[in-house]
Amino acid sequence: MAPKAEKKPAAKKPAEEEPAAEKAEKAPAGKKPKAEKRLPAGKGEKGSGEGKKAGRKKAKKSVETYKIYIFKVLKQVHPDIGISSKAMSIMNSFINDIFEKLAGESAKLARYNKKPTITSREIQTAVRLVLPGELAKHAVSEGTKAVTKFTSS
Amino acid sequence: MEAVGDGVRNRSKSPRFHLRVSQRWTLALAAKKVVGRKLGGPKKPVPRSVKAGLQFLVSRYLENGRHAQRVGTGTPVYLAAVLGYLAAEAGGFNYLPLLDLANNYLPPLSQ
Repeated sequence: MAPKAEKKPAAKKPAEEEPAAEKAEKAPAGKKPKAEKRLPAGKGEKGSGEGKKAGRKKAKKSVETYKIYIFKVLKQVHPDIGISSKAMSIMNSFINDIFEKLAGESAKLARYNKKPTITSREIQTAVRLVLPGELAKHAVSEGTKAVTKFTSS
Repeated sequence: MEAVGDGVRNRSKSPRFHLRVSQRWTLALAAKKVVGRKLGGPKKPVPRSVKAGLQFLVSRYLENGRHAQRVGTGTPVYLAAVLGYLAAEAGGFNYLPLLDLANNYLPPLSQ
């Protein structure tokens, strides 16, 4: 069911999400971004907000999701393909799940070594522990490449 | 004699006038340099996701003391890269069959 639904292009979503992407990119521009505002991304059946919700009270509380970033990655890999709202919710849940696993594992590693800091080394070890086989290998190379580019720039 | 005197006075005044003009010019040049430096000095803030060449947001979800007291600089960059890679891979965007991952992490798709 879901893979068939993936073939349908979502015309409404990119128009709504692109301005949110612009705002989201500007938000971490400061040296210490404290509160991040993002528009609620389209009509998601599962409004799976993350643990960190914006504390400011306005008309609506901003729900933070990974949907705009998942869409960016999709446009990187297949520029012509869209994604349905249900599939997007599934991907968002997947990212949240992996995030919690990696964060929890790296927190355990930091505690075992009696260190209060989670560094990229802890994340790397957690990736190797959580992800199976070849997937961990590629993920480690992607992470190392990103950190190298980040430090050099 | 008066004409000679006037000539002497004019000559004495003219170098002062030239000096003043040159001083003003140097001050203007210095001001331009300072302004230029000031304009060039403060760099525009660049988001970290752009620095790292990623699509996923480099943010501070690890903080708030939920997982550890301190978080390193490269940690969110590394984590964002891993999550971005997994989103591309496991979403089937590359159309690669990942049986292990499907069995472990994506029950709805396997049904």
